[in-house]
Amino acid sequence: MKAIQHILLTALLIVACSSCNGWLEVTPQDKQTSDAYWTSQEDVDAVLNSGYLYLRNMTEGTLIPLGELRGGSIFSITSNKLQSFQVKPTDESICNWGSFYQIINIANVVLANAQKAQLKDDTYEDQELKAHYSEAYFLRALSYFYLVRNWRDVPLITTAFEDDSHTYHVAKSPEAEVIKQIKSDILAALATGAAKETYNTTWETKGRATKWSLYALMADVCLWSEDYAEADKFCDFLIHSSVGNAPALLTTPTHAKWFSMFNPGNSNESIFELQWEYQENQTNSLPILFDNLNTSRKYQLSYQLLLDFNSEYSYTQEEQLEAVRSMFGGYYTDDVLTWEAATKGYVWKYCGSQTLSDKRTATYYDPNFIIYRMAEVYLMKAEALVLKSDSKADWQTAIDLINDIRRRSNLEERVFTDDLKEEDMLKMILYERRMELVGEGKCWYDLLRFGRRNHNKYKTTFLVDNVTLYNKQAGESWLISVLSNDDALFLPVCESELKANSLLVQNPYYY
Amino acid sequence: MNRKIFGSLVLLILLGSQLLQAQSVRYIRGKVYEIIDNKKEPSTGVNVIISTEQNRLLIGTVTNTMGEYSLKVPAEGAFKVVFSFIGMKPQTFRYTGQTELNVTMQEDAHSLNDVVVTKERQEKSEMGITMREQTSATQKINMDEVVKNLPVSSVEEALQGRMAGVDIIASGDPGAKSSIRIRGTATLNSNADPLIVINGVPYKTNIDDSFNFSTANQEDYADMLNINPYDIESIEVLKDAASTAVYGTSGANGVLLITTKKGVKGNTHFTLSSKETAKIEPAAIPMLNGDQYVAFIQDAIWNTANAQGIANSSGYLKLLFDTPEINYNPGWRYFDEYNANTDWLSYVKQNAIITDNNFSMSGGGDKATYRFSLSQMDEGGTTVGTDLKRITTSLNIGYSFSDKLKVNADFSYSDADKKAPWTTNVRSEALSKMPNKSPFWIDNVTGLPTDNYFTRQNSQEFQGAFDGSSNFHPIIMANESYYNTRQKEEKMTFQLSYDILKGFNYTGYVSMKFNTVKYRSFLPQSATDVTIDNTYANLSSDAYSNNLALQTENKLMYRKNWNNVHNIVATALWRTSQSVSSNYSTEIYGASSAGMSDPVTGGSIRSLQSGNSEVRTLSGITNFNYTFLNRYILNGTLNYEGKSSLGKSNRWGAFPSVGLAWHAQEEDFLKDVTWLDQLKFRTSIGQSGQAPEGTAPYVGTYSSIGQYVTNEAITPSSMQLNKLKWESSTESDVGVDLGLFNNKLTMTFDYYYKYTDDLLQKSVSIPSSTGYSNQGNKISYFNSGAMSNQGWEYRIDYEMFKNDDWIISTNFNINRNINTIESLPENLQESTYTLKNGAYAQKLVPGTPVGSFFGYKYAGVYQNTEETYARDAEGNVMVNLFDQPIVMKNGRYTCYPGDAKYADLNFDGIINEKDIIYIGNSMPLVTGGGGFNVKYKNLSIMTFFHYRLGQKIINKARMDSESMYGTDNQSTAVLRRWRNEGDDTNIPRALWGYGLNYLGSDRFVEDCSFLRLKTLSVSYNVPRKVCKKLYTNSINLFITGYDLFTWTKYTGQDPEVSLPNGITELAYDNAQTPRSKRYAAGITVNF
Repeated sequence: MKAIQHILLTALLIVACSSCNGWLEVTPQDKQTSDAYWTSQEDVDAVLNSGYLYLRNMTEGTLIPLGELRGGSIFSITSNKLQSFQVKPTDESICNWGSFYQIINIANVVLANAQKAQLKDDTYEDQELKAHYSEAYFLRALSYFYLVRNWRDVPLITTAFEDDSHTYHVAKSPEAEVIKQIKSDILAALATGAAKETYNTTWETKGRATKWSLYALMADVCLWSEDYAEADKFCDFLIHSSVGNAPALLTTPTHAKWFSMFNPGNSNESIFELQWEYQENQTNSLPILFDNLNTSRKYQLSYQLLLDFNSEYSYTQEEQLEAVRSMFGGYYTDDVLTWEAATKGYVWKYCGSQTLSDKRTATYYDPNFIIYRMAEVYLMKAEALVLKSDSKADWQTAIDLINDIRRRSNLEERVFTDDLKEEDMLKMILYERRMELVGEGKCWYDLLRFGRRNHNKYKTTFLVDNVTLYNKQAGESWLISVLSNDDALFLPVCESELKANSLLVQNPYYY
Repeated sequence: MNRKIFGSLVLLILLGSQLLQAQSVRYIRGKVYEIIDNKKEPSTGVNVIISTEQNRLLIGTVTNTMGEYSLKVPAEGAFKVVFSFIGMKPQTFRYTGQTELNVTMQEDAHSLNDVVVTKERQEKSEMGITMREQTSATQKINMDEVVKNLPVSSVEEALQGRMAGVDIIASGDPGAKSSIRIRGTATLNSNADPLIVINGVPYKTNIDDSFNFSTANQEDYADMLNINPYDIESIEVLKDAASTAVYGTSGANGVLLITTKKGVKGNTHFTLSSKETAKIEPAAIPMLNGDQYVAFIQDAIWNTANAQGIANSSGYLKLLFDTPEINYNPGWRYFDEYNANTDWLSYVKQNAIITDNNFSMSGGGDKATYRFSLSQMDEGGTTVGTDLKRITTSLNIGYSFSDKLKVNADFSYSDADKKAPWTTNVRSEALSKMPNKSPFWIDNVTGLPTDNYFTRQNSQEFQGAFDGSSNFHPIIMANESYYNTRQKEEKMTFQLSYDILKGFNYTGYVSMKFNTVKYRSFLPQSATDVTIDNTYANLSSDAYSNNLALQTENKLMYRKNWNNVHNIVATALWRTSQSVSSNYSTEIYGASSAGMSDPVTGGSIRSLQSGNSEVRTLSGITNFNYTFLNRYILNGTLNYEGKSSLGKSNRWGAFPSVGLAWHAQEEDFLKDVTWLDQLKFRTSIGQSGQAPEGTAPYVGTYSSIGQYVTNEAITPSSMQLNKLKWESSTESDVGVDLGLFNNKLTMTFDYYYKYTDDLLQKSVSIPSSTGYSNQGNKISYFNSGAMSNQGWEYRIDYEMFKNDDWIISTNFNINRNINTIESLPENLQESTYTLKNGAYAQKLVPGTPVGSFFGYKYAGVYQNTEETYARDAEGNVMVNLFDQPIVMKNGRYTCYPGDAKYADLNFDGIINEKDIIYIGNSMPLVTGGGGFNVKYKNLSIMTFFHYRLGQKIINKARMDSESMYGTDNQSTAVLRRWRNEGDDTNIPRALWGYGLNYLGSDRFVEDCSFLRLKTLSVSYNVPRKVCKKLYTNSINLFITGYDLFTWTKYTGQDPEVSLPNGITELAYDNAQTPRSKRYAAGITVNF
């Protein structure tokens, strides 16, 4: 009988112990599991940082080509389907929107989980939590704004994909709905009252979302959605800020001061710029891509823009003023000595070192990429003022704002006359944007915004004429025919995405 | 858990030793006699034991030369004293306190001749159910019959075609994995192989996901059950869900139950067998010789130059006239080497020998039995450089402590050493090599080949430089490169069985399997002629993986019969299993020489990998079997199983099954039908499941992606998959078993229908809008879609004639399986079709079977310009605006006479994806086998046929050798290529890297149905008298021919082509090593 007892006991022992569900809980040894994450303020911080990191990683491959190539200020010396308006759904490298949604998911994940971390971390102040929320809102709004400007209608996803509880298949939302979401995100971020004005370090103040970057983004979005009064209001929050540490327009008309925006960067004018740091082994190829002598160069100024810059440069030379944003500021030529005869121009912003005409050396291949700075805010306000009303006073103010930018570049000031029409005013603004912001990934969006507003009122003037004038990478008749189709102004949904998401429909132009 | 299993093992051992403990000091002594020539003599060596009433041995001794013995008697309890000796009747006395006990042994007339014990009981399954009580479809094969006369080197080979519903495709290379499918493929991406159960212990044959060697593939790893076919007593196949339920969900694809031989009571038996097999390579496809090749290439280039037009053809003309390899240019330094006539294949194929030697020894007494076996096999491959050597050994010991308590220990070890060249495409490379090139340098003086390999293989060469998979020197590759796999496996099982009460039994086991695999590979630079800084130069790799699988089972069984009216068998068991794996691999290039190929000896690192994984499973299974009046049977099983690879909420699955059977022959109205022995109707329905593999693939993870300036950046790296669940299948089965005329004629018919839902798919794409671009927008597993398999199986065995001298018997089986996609997985992505040569469209349509081919209808060759005109549906020539005829186009290429003609199904004058139609299916219509056996006295002749009918395949090998597109050598079929109008041929003109003359069309989709004489065997048992003289019990001699004849219309080398692993892949014949004819001769000796 003893034996029986033993056996039964053993059997029982094994049954009892094994039945615990815990034994079936096997987790991978080399990874952090998601249910063990979100325990501290640092965890939230780290996830937000990956949002910025993703955005930073998109600069060369996405932000610059999408923002520039179709506009024609800059072209790629190797053939590129964006600049020839021949993008097909199979061109995954161009039209896959995944990297933007990566940032959106980061924002969604933070919004969904930050509070969990706060419950576990006593040192995680409420104010800090809200600040993190506002950063997440900013990242999400900015990403959607890029999506809307490139694909127009996109799936609007505001829930976090941490697990498989949400469907992967999401239909496109119309542009207006996405814009509404973007605005409500920015307002929500501001409503927390915790959006930071500064961080502990300068690079963070300029490299992460602040109250100022939220204002700038909002102004930009409002201009896109033709809400000019709001745009004007948010520009004013920046321009007329009484806070000491608010960004401010650099006004000193010297090259050195102006160029400090790009080297060393993080200037007082800057609002939001993506950060690299060679000391942390974080460098980029921007100095190479725009370098006339480098065999790996990729981008060049269009000939028309070279002429524009040359004429600004020649003005300063004639007036014996220091060239600020022209030669060795916004551009330089392949033949600096006889620049009038030069045929090729390059963006100097990313190549230039602190001395006037020397290039960055390889160790310093860490120029930042500016997304918002005060000059643009001035020009956005000018644009808002012109479109907001017919008030001559407003238009005069707009001219003043443009002149603020021109004055610091030692260029002749624009004069307001009564016979100026809306179209003339806008032309001035667009010209100023093109020259000031060259290489900063704005050009195409500007043309698109100017051309589409008010039911395509100025489509020919601003969009078609400008593209055909500057973009020589495709035949004029082809460009005119493509641009005549409103759907062709936006990218196709890429093939793999269409397959993976059954609710998506292709942009009609690419059927 | 390790500790837990260990603990229970220790407990079991302790338990055993405690039972052995005896107490106190009393003695019993005496003398034993035997009667010799009517005289009472002391008997030496008689076993004397004291045991309990339950025959549990307490103490024992043997008598000395004086016939005396003395034993210490345990203190308490009732005992028996037992005297036994071989050839004598055992005698038992009740112990009543005697101090002396003298015994006289009596001779036993029977026992000497009858040492082999016959089966005492009817065989019962794991769940204590007899064959008769089963309600489901099973089939059992006695391996002795199969193995004795056949030169099989693996279990798979032995089973091929013999079991209804089991479809096996064996490979031609030694040691390569065979595919086994029971009742079709019922899963999309996860494992579709059946479960192997050895002596009641399940062993998974697949490896889990975490193994991602760049250098190894699953075929190498999972291959080889590592069981010596000679050690197997029987194999039983369980097909339907109701019968596999007992083995949990791992049996969802069917179960192969393997029972190994055990020791039997009696004298020690030795068996020696030895077998030599010759493998004869079948004739190869005839290829162009050197001159024909050069002529063909020149023709191709010239045709292309013409097609391009003179303005665009300067490049082609330059190629045609300035390429010394294909021109007559005696001044060129390699002139001799490129004017040879080489049959490359002849250098890399060979005839081979298989040597197989086995030794076994078994025996035992009342208490203990044992069996030991040792076998050695060496199988040469018909491709130079391939070889498999294997040593297996096993030891089985059974010990009965008493009638109630029995233990059994199994130990086996195998060591398999498989050799292969670095790449598997040595043969196809040899076929495509230019035949006018010499493999060796040619001596300038004698004009004869030297011993030195001519290795020129660079970008200037006509066939180009090594590209990672092709363009190498096939002879050096076969002879000097290697990819060796060394697999060692130890299996240990300790089993204990205890009859608690009458009819109430406990069985438990602890099993451990340890498997290590070592891979070494080397690609010599001379084979590829790449520069030394190339990452393929002297590429050497070293990889290692090991796996430890631990399993325990505790089972309680209750069996009771009430006057043959009610009979119940109830079983409950609890099983745990745990599998832990780890691996590493290193790969270096630039090793200084073949001798220095060890990765630590230098070179540059190409890749380094390591990984580990763990999977755990728990399952509780109860089974209840009830028989009423010996004829109505009800069987029910419930399996409740949990697996660590699923998330908490979906981890546990319950899988019920139920079955009914009716023995109609027992009914009164059939009692009088004397010729009817069995008429059994069965029906069952059951559920099973499949869970994902790998270490917790459902777990969501975060990982670091670097820094944003100085701040750490962490991102979600995989999604938590809470919805991931069991793939579930429901299978119903209806069957009849019929036995007639004293069971001389038996038949079994089964119809089944299996519906698999929530199909598990691996590495599934999700939209990038989910934000997982970092991970390539993939999730590890996803459940979606449904599939069904239905079919029938029929088997007949007929003993046609039997008398004292003759036995004539035959058997036949036929199976049909229809696979249907019931609903497409919502995320299924077909690969995009692009119009190009050799490509077939891939389509999965609900309601159609998987494995369907879609392509163009081939209509021969355009003979003249008139024929190239496009025609509308009425057959009228289509004209353009200027009233000129429109010429057909293959894609963007305008057709000329001599180009391939495809059916323009939509009459638009252009051949493109709109002209694609269904052109066949790779799933066979029926499969099966049959045999015919004749036995006359000591001589027997056995034949066995295997067939697969109604199956199509893309003959890629033929496509490659008739495509006439690049530099590859072509088969002699292209000598019939179209050259001039009127050429009666269906082979288009030669072109050079131009045109669409070999689009994926029905031209290369062939019917590969076949009937094959698998074995023809003659065996002879040496008469007993002769054996006696040679001091042996039996001698058997045999000669067997294997794969001797094949009846097929297929034009490739071998119609038995392996099917692809993934269900969405198409079946191609890539010219693997064809099965060779084999002739074996062998001898088996028992003594």
